[in-house]
Amino acid sequence: MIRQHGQCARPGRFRHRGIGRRLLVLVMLLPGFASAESDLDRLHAGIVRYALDTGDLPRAVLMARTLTGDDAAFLRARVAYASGRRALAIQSFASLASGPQAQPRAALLLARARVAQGHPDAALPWFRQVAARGFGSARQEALYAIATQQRLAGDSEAAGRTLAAMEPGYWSALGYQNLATDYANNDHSSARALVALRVALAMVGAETDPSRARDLRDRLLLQAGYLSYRSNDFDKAVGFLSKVSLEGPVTPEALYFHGLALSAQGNQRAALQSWHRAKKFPLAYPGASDAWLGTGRGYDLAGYLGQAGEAYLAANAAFESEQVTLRKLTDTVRAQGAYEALVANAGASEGAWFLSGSGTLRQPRQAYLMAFLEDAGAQAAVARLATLVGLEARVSRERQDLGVLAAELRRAGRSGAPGLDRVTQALTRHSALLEDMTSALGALQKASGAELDRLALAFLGEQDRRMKVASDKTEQQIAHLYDYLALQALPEQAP
Amino acid sequence: MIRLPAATVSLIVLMLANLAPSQAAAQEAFQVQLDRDGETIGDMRPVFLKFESRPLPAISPEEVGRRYLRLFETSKAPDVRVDAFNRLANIRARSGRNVGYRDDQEAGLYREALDSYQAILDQGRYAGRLDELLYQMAKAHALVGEPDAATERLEQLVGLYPKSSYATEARFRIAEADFAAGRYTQAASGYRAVIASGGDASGQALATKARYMLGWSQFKQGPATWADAARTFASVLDETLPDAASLNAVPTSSVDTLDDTLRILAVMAQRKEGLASLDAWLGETEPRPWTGLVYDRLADLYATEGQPDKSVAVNEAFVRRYPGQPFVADFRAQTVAVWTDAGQPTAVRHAKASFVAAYRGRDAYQGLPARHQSRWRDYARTLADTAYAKGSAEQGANRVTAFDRAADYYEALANRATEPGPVWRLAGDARLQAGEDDAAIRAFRTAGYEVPGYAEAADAAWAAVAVLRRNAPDGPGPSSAEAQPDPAAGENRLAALSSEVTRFSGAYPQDGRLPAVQADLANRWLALGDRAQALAWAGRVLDHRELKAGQRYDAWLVTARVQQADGEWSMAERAWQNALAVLDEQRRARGQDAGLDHGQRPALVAQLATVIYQQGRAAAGRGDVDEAVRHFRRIQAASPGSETAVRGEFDAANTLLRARRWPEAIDSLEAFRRAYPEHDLSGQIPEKLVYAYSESGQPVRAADELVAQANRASAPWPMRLRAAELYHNAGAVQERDALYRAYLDTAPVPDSAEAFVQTQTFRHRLATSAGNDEAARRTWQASLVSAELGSPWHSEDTLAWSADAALVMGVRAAERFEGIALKAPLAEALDRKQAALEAARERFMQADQLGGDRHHSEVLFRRAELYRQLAADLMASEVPDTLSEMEAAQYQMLLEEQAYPFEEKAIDLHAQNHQGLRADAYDPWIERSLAALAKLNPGRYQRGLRWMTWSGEGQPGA
Repeated sequence: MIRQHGQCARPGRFRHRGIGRRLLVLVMLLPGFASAESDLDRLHAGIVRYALDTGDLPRAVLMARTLTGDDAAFLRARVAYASGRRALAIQSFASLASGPQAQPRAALLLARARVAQGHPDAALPWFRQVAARGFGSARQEALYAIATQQRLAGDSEAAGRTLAAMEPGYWSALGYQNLATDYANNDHSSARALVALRVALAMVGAETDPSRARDLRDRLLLQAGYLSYRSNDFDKAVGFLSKVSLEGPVTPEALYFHGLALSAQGNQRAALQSWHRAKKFPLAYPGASDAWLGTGRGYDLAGYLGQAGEAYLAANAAFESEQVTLRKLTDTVRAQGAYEALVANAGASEGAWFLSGSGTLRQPRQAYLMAFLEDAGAQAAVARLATLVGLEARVSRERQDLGVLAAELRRAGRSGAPGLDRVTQALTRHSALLEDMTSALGALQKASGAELDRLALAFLGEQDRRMKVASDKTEQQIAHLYDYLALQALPEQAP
Repeated sequence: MIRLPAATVSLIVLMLANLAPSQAAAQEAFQVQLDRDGETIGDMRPVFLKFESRPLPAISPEEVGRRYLRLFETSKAPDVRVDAFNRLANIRARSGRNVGYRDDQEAGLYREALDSYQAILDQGRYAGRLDELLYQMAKAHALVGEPDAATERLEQLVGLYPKSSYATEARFRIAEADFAAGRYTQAASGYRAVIASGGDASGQALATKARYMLGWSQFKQGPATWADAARTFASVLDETLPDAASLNAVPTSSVDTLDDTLRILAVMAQRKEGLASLDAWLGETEPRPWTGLVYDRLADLYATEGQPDKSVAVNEAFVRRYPGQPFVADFRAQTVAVWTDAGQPTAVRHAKASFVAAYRGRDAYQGLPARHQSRWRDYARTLADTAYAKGSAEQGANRVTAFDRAADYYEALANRATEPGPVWRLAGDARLQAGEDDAAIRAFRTAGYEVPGYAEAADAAWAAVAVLRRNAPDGPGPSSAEAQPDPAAGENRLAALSSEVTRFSGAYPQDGRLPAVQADLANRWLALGDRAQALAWAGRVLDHRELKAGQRYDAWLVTARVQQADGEWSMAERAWQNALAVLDEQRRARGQDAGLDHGQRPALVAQLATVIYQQGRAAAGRGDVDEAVRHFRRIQAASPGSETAVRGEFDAANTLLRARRWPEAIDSLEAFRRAYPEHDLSGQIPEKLVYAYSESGQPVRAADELVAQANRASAPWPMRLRAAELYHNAGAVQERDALYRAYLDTAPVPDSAEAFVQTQTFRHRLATSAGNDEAARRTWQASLVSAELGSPWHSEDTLAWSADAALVMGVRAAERFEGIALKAPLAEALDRKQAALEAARERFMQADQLGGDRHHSEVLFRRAELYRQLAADLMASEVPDTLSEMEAAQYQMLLEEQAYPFEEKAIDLHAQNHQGLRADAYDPWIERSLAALAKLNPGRYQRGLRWMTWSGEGQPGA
């Protein structure tokens, strides 16, 4: 359980994985790992790999220069790609992939790069190569990518065949999910889509990483539950949705549909339980605002009109309040920038609001961050900015270190150490260089921050509009309720 | 949408998380540990949600109107706006108030709505469908009073989106516009198009409306197209009422349409050729579920227009053609109603009878709906009452027929009536009137026993009893006067009545009529000789708590008689006493109960005495003496001085006697004799007393009683002799001997061996008891011997007694003989001696004769001694002194010669006695004879004989 780690769900989980990788690196660093290649080669390669995986690009760049050994070319290509020298990297990947050793991992990275460049067709042969020669996760990813392209080309049968060739696990499950989405969009009946989803659920069962398995499983179950609900198969819908975990990004939406299905079966009280739980999630999550509306509807259907009215009024107040929150967040984004407002400050304020909700461990601002980061563009923008911020921090630290060193040297210089001047001059040069880098990073940060702000403000605007619609709907429901009460109070008359 | 693989997201977030460790730490401060619940939604821990009815705000339509208007004005969502607008219109219509906006603002708002629609159209960003928008716009146009614009939009819709779900309705509305404008032909084709387009549920609903309107369009085109119109309307009905079930589930919205469709069909038929037209349009065979409705409408139309004949003809045609149809009952009922309205009572009655007959059967009736069942009951009741009234007024066969019919109706009605009791009773009454007793009884029984809650059920049940009682033998009814030719039949009827009364009493045990009839039954059964039944019924009478004296008296009387006849004496006694108690009670109360005959009292008392007496006898028979005596004696208390009481006293004594309870028996007997000295039975007392005294060891008193009785008897001797015997046994020798003497004084001549032995016994006893009175003894011995000798009868005892007596007398004579001395004058002395010898010898001979071996040796000895004595006396006789010596010697010689034969005789006799040895009869007398022989003939007999005693030594078993 995430809670047992005492961490918030998503960041905690990911950090957990980070720790695992660090451990792996430590293991690799142990003396016993050294064999044919020189131990030093291996150690260097490991450090570079670790630096790449943890985003410590400067160290990677630094170490890559001196790399020797089998992996040197590949790692250098990776470093090149990561540091923005894409053309060089692609060239290196291509030569490694098509070279005598035909490295599948290079082919995979090359294929990814081609997709990222917007050339999926060009990526396809490389994916096929990985599929043919690769193994493990790489091969699965390649097959998934192939199936995705087949699917996008409208050949769902071919996609199905490709997926059938995959090992059960995360990638195959994802492939089947996408297939199910296609079926659901194209078919009148949900039968084919549900079959695909069931296969996906079976596939995800074989996934060894529990956290991403659970995440995907929840999404598959939500999709299956929704499709069943849409086909008026409420039993089945409740069956799927009941299996969704209680702590996941799709939980509120799943709870909302769970409640809808129960309500459709006439079980208003159980439906209200689901909606009540969903209401504990921040409104940023899909399904949460619907659950607020559903609560009123549930009381109405259960015959408690007074409570229905109160629930609608409460929903309206929550939506109004959320709009205020969104506007404040918008103002903060405008004032501090999206990165500061959303990412850096996430979870650092408004505890009172959170406590009053007391139903989830999430906090509105962080919830909006999560929702925001569902979008690939936002992910890229945040990642870019985060990298820049990290670099800047590093440069700043280096500068500080240099400053300390220089101060020490100056103090030592008074004691007349030989060659001190030369070192001092080198330090000054370095320092100037770092200063230049800092300003360059600052400019880049500004541009990236502006882009992120744009995206964040657009996102927040959309959220605000969503809240407004929800608010209108609530008003509409209140009006319907009052309408009913007023008509009830009217003396009987012939229609 | 293309989703990024979650892993990508994870990587990014990982980086973010690493960059912001302080934030993550800060979040922990806000963590709240939830109660544990499961991992999935299914395992979610439910929370407590309150469900309570809160007071609802009083909302006025105005408030609602304001809200809708605000929503309409502020919302940017078109669907929300349109919804708000439509609902605003609705609440205005429903409330009849100008809520939300004033009338003069209405057009503006509609226009605004239209503007909104238009804006949506223009934006091209409408999430919904354009056909829907066009449809809504048309609706808005229609609402703001722009029908042409509305029609235009609808035509636009149909033209642009012919397959739209709104297209059908659009076509329909266009056709409606044509119809409204009187363009019937165009309207008809428009409606046809709607019908042809079909579609989903709403499309079907429209098609139905269109079909109906098509019918109207055809109707409006004139009679030439009425046949088409009729077929169209028929298809409307076919669709709305496809089956029988749909008749009961007509949606409210369809009621008016249906009603109108039926009306117009009827009107068209009536204006044309009536039923014939209907036939032509609808066909005669295979009725549709709604066919009845059309007939009904036509019949109604005729009826309201004053043509009952035609109306009824239509009704009857339906009934005749479609007897299995559900409406048939309605048509039959309608016929009744039509005739009623037309004021034709006979026709009404026939119609009702026909209705009742049609649903008389159980299944037929059950198949009727409740209202017709109610109607059926009304009709049946009316018909029944009418027939009953007619029967009451008529005579003879007509009367019977009418009552019979009334009974039929009542019976048919009864089980269906809400209160079947009275109806069954009426049925029974009618049956009785019609002379059908059995059926009447059945009906009365049903009313009496099988109708829960019927207040007069007891009376009805009683009616059945009354009918049976009238027919039972010995009943008070008219039929009882007739002779009962067949006793078995009489018994059967009585059994039937009994069973009826039993049932009645089971159901109405407290009914006041019950005791009388039960008492009556008891008497009747007794009269018929069935005592068990009689007793049972009498018992049932007595089980009642409240009874009239006469009933109780009768019941006890019957009980008493039966139990007496059955030998149940004690129970009979109780019954008699109870009967007497009733009489006495009534007499004391001076009650004038018609059922009581006080003159019977003595007879009852006599019966009472009898049964007590019988109890005494029974107890005595069982050997229960005390009980028997108690019963015998208490008769006196029950019936003082009666013959039975006397007999009881007597039998009490007898019982004691028989039980050998002597003192009590003797007391009783003597008391009886004192109390009833003159009573015949007193004659038996002495005998019984004697017996009692004898048996109780008081023979003297018994003998005294006998003597006393003998003194009063004409033939006293038998009693006296019994008394003498008793005295004898008791040792009262004196009293006995007196009686013996008196008896023997009468010189009785024995006429039998017994009598002889008796007199001999008396003599013997007298001789024995003579004591010192030697003379008396000799007398009695002599008479004993002489009587014995003179009698042809003997007994061992008498022979022995008389032999002994003779011997005694012989010995006495021998002594006298011996005492006679042969003295001078010798001859005289010798004569006397000789005579004495003869006398002694004679007695000895008698003794020998009578005694046989008893005294033989002694007699021989004594006889021998007589002769020896004579010889010796002769020898020793005094020689006369006148003789010389010679003479004296000669005389002596002569004497010796004279004496010698006597001596020889003596020796001979002793020798004879000695011969007795050979008979092994040794006795002292033989020994004495031997001794005498030894003296008389010493040579032969004087030997020192010594008898060898035979010892048994050496002999086994000695």
